Amino acid sequence: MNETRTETLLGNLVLARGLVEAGCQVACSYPGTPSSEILPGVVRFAKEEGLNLYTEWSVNEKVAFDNALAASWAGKRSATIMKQVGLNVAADSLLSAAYTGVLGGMVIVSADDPGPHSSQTEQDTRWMAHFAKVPVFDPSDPDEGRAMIAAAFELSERHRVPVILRPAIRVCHAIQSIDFRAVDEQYPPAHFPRDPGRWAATPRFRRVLHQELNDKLETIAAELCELAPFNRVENLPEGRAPLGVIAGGVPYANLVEWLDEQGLRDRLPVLKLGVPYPFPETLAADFAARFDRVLVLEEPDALIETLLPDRGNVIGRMSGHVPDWGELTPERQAEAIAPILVEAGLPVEVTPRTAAETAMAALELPVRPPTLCPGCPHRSAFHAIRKVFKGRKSIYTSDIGCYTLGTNLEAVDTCLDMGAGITMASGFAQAYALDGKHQPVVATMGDSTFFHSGATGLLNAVYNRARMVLVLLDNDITAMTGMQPTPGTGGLANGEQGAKIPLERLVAGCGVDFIEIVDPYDHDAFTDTLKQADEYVRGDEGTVAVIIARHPCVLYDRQGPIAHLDVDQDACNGCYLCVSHFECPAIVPQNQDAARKKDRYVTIDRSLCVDCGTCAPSCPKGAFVPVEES
Amino acid sequence: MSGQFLIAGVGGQGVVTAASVLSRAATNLGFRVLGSETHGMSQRGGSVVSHWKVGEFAAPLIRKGAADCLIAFNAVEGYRNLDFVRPGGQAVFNAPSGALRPEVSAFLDDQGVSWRAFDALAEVAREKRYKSLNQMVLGFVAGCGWFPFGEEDLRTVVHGFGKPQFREANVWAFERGVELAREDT
Repeated sequence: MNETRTETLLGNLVLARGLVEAGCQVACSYPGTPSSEILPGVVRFAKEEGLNLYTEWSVNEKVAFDNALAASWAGKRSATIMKQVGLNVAADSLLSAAYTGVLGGMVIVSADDPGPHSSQTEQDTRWMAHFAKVPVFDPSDPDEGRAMIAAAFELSERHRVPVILRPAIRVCHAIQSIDFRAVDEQYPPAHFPRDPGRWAATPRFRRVLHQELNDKLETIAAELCELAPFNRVENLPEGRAPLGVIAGGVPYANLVEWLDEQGLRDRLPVLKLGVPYPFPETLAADFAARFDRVLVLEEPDALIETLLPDRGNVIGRMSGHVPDWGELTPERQAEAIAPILVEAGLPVEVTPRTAAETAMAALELPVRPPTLCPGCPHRSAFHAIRKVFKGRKSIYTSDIGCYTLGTNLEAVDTCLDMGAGITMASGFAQAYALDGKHQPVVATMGDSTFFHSGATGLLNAVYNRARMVLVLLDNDITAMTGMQPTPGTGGLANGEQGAKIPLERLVAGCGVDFIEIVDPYDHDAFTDTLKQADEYVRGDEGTVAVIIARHPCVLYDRQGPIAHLDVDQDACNGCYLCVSHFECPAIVPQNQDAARKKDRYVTIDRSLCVDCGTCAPSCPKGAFVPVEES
Repeated sequence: MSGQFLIAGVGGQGVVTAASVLSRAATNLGFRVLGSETHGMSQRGGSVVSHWKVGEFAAPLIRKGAADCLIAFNAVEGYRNLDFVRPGGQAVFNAPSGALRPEVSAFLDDQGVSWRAFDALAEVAREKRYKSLNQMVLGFVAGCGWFPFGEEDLRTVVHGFGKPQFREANVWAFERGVELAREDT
C-alpha cells in the first residue's frame, strides 16, 4: 500500500480505516443511521489490501455484540458497530461482558444522534458506558476517532475490558481528508482458554468479577488523567483565571474553530476530555479548581457536568447555560456561550442572524418532509391498506424503516422501536378484546426489521391468539440505511452469497396459518388478499394473518418502465385524492388555490416519475391513462 | 486556500455527489477538506445539505452566517438556508426561469451577497439528463470563478468521475453550466 495516500472520506469510512489499521479482525454490525457505512468501509479496506477479516451483517445488535465478543474471547481483536439505540438492544450482553472482560481487544462503536436526525431518542452512549462500567472514547472529528480506536484496542487488551467509541452523527457523517496508515496485520490465532469461573461465572463468581471491574476502573481513571493527546489541557494560566472550559466531542471542535477564527484560541484555558469515563477526576477537579467559573461543553447529555465532584463553580447543560436538548450546532453553541466568554473578558463576537431570520420567516417556506420514493412499493401497500381498512377506523401500528413515512399516507399511527409494529398490534388487539370488541389492527413491518426483532413478537402474538393483520413489506433489502442485504436474499456483508432464509418459512415457523404472498403493485390482488385476511382475523378461529407484500425496493432494483401514464385532463376533476391518499412526489397539484374544485388539476413531474403505473388505482375517475412516450 | 460552501437541495438531486467532486478536486491540489453530509431518512425526497470546507478547519458544520458561498440545487432549499451565507458572500441558485423571489434578491443585495440564478432544470430537462443537474450547477459556480480553485481543476475531476454510463451527460452538464455562467454577466 502507498502509505502517503491521502483521501477525503466519509467519517464512517475513516473510523472503518481506524479499525482495519488497528488490526481488528472481526467486525459485526447491524445498520442504523448514523453508523451504517462503517462495516461496508471495513469490507472495502479488507478487500483493497487482501486482508483476512471476518465481517458480518448480523440480524440485530445483540447478535452482533455476542459474535464479536466470542471472537475477542478467542483472542482476536474485534468490533461491534451500531447506532446508540442499537446498544439498548445489546445492553444485556454489554453489562455482562463488562464483568467477564475480554481477551483480544474489543471495541464497541455506538454512534450517537444529537438532534435527533434519524433516531427515536437523543440518548447519550456515554451514560451507557457509565451504566455498564466500561471506558468510553468521544472523538471530536473522524481522524481523532481513528487514532482513538488504536488506543481503545490497546486499553481494552491491557485491562481486559470492552471499550466503547462514541462518535456523534457529525463525526460519522463528516467528510475529512486523511492520510492512510499501514495495517497492523499481526492477527493472533484463535485460542479460547477455558475458564468457567470467568466465562460461565455463576453469581458467586460474578461478585468477584464485579470487584475486579471496579479495581480496573480505578486504575484506568488514573491513567486517563495522563492520556494525552485525548485528554489534555490547553492554555493553562499561571494563576487563577475567571473562566476555564471543559469540552469533549463535537462541541470541542465547534469551540476551537470559532475561537481560531477570531484569533482568541490561545486566550481560553480548555480541558479537552476525549475519554470522559471512567472519569479522570483528579485531572478534571484540579483544572476546575483554578477558575472562578467552569463551563462544560458536551452533548447530547451532561455526563462530565454530573461527574465533576464539586459543581459549585460549574455551568453547562444542567445549569441551563447551554441548551439541554437538541444538537449543539456551531451557531447555537456560540450564541449560548458568547455572553459567558465576554463576561470573562474574551471579546468574542457572534454573527447577527436577525436580518436573515426575519427575511426567511417572511418567505413562509413550505416544510419538505421526507416522502416515499416515486414507485415505492410501500406506497401501493399503504394505499390499499387504508382503502380496505376504512381509513381511521383501524389502528395502524408500524415500525422503523422507510415505511415509517406511511405517516404521510395516514397509514401509520405508532412507531416505538424495532419490532414494536407487531407487539403493539397484539397489545392493542388484546386491550380492545377485553371490552368484547373487535378492533381492526393492521401492523406493517419491513423485512429487515422482522428479521431483527419481529419474529419473537409474532410468535408471541400467535401463541396468545391475538387477532391482527400483519403486512410484511418485503422489499429484499434494508433500504432506509442504504441498501444492506438481509437473510431474505442471503447476501453477505462482503458481497458473497450466504444462506437464503425466505420470510415465509420464518413466518410459518412462528405458527402462522394464514400466509399470503402478494405483489402490492397488483392493486386488485393485494386488496382482495387484505379483505381475506380481515375475514380470517374476525373468524371464530382467527388469530394472526400475515401478508407478505413482496416487491423490490425501487432504488435497489429498478425494474424499468412498467406503464407510461399521463393525466387525462378531461377526466381529472381536481379532487386531489391522488395527492392526499397516494402522495407520490411525481404527482404535482396545480392551481391549488382555485376557488372551484374543477379548476384544480394535477400534472406529472417527468424528472421524478419512474413509469411504475401504480398511481392508476388512486384515481376514482381513472384519469391516469397510458400514453405513448413523447 | 480556504472556503466554506453550503450545498442545498432535495434528496435525489446529487448533493452528496457534488460535494465528493469538490473534495476530489481539493485533495488533488493537496488541500484538506472537512465537512458534513446528510444521510438517512432525509435522503428520501427531503431537504438535503452538504457543508463543505476547504482549508484548516476543526468543526464539520459551517456556522450560520459563515458560509462564503451558498449553492442551491433547488431554489426553495436555497431560501431555507439563506442564513448560512455571510454578508459579502456569494450564492448560486437553480431557480425556475432563473428568477428568485423578489424578497430574496432584495435580502441578498442588502447583505452585499453576489448572486446568480439560472434555470438548470429546464436545461437538463431539454436533454432528459435530470441526474446531471448537480454537475451543471457546479459548472456554473466554476464559471463564475467562485471556487477557491480553477475551473480546469474541477473539469479534470468531472471528466473522470462516477459511473461511466453517466459520464458523458455529466461532462455535457458541467460544460453547459460553465458556458451559461459566462453568457450573461
